[in-house]
Amino acid sequence: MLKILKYSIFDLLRSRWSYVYFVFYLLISFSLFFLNNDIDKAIITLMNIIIILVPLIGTIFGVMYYYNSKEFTELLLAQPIKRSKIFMGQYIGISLSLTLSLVLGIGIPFVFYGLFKSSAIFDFSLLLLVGAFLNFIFVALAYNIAISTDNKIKGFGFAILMWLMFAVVYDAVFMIFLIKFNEYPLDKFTLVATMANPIDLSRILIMLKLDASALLGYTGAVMKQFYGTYLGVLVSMSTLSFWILIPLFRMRRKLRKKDF
Amino acid sequence: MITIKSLHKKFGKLVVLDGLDLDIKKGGIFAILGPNGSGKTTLIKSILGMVIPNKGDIELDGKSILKKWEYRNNINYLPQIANFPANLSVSELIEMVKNLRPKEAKERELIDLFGLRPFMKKKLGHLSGGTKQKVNLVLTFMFESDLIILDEPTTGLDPIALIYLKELINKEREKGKTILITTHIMSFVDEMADEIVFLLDGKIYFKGSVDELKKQTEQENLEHAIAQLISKQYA
Amino acid sequence: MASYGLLLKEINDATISDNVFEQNTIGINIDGCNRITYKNNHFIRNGWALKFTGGCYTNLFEYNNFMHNAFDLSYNSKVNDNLFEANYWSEYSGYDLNKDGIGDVPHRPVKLVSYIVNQTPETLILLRSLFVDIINFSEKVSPVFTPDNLVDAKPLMKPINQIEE
Repeated sequence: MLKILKYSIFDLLRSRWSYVYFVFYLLISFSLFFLNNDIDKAIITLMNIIIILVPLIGTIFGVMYYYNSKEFTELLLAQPIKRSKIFMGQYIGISLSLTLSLVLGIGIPFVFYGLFKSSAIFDFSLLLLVGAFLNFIFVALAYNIAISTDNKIKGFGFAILMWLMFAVVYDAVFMIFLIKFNEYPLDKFTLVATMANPIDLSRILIMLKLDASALLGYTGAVMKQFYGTYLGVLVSMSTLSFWILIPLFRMRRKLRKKDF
Repeated sequence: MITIKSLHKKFGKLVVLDGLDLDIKKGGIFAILGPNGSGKTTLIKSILGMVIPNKGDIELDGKSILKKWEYRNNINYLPQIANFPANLSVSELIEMVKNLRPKEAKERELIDLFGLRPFMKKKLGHLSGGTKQKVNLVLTFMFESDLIILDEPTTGLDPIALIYLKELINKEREKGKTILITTHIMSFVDEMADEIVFLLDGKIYFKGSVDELKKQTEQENLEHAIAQLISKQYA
Repeated sequence: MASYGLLLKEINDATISDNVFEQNTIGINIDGCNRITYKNNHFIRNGWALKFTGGCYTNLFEYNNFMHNAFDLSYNSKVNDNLFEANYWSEYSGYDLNKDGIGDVPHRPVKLVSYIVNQTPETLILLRSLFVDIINFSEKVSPVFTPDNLVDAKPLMKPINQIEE
């Protein structure tokens, strides 16, 4: 697996898109940190970008890489390696190279800005951690979709739809539900519903750092009580990990029966 | 060498292999022929473990290969379409495939044979189709394996490379290797093959030497003999 | 840092100036207050910087900083005759082509979502999600729920006299 991983990273790190992605983050963060010199605002804007863009790019990249390397994967399948290792190697390769673009693209400007002078270092590391999680989660989901259908256009369609579900539709339904069942106690439901969507969960983890005051007043108190504790952090981190492990588990099962 | 017992494979509702039995003994060149969709590629990919059969068994030297992967160390495979990671160079790709196999490789002579030396540092994305096919051939023939499977090996090759390819195949046969080839070029079959395995409707329809086929179909020309076999499908 | 910075109920004719409201759930809760001038106040990282709960008329807000509040303003009525002018809003996304320090596009400080959150507090959990951004944006483009004239016509491009921290 490490050999596959090594070469897929090799291949990806030389791909034009990795650089476009890296430079994009670099430019955004440099302009955010230095043009208005307001670290709070920079982190809020970065959060918005990370929460939407990282899943989208991870999804598209994952599907694209799978379909583009299909013939080469066939060549690898004829080599004496286990199937699951080939795909795990590729999966980790994509996720790592995307995460590298993200961490370097945002990290370098932040280091220049003054890593140790800033008190925002904790918020910032949380941002990167969540970004990395989202990368690994959505590439895994994308790989699942790609493995499930050989039709490239269908695969892309499903992948975008999946992103749209998590990024927008889920929250819309969530909100309608909350408004509709206003009279009932919804604390526990809300807590579970945020856990069930990795984008929401990531958003709330960051938001608790940024908008703690707004959250304190209302239902927020419940959220804060839960997510603010060690148990809460532990639960949310393991939930995010499950969001990686479950798609990977399903991928391995699918692979056992798949024809190439 | 290879023993296949009542192999079944369905893709959705489409039955591709329908209880196929095949026995291939060690040594020689076997051409796997058949009309489009007769299951040639499926058969090859089943042997390689890329397609997973619904029923039946495949044995290599008496051992079942289903759900295993180590046995592939003793198979060289040339896939139909040569498409490699665009951002790796030729030499990196060769290194990578060498890395994946715990055995000796003799890529140098092959690189010289196909005149690939000037392309070694070039990225695979920048190569022409024919050059990629030559790289593909290097990757296939650089290992010593008892079984060699070639899927449409002549695609995109210039006449000189084609001559070298034939020489390579003949050399391997002399070493006592078993070589499976699928192709649509009948002259290639006529010239090279020791035996023909003809697939129709997911079963072996004919197995024997070129001469036997000609005799059975009462045709002088291989192309016509094959055509007659196929036409029976429509009769 | 507290639940409330300041609770105002039925206060008339006053001036509130040079305060810092930082990290409160509600910076100032304003209930039935008229003719008050708010000047040179800093609202930083509050849940709500200003929350209007009763009818409030002819109040003036000028030269205040609204920075990184989850909501700068929550408003409960469809009519408005309070005036917001020349404040700094960290969320302002307009431009200043003539370089006079005043944004060329008016700023709408009330978000649609603050209405929804008033009705159903649980929806707060969806703050900063793409869906909420989308409905906020659509409200900004064509206001349906927020009073038409609740705008800062002269939003400042830079914060007023930076406070020492």
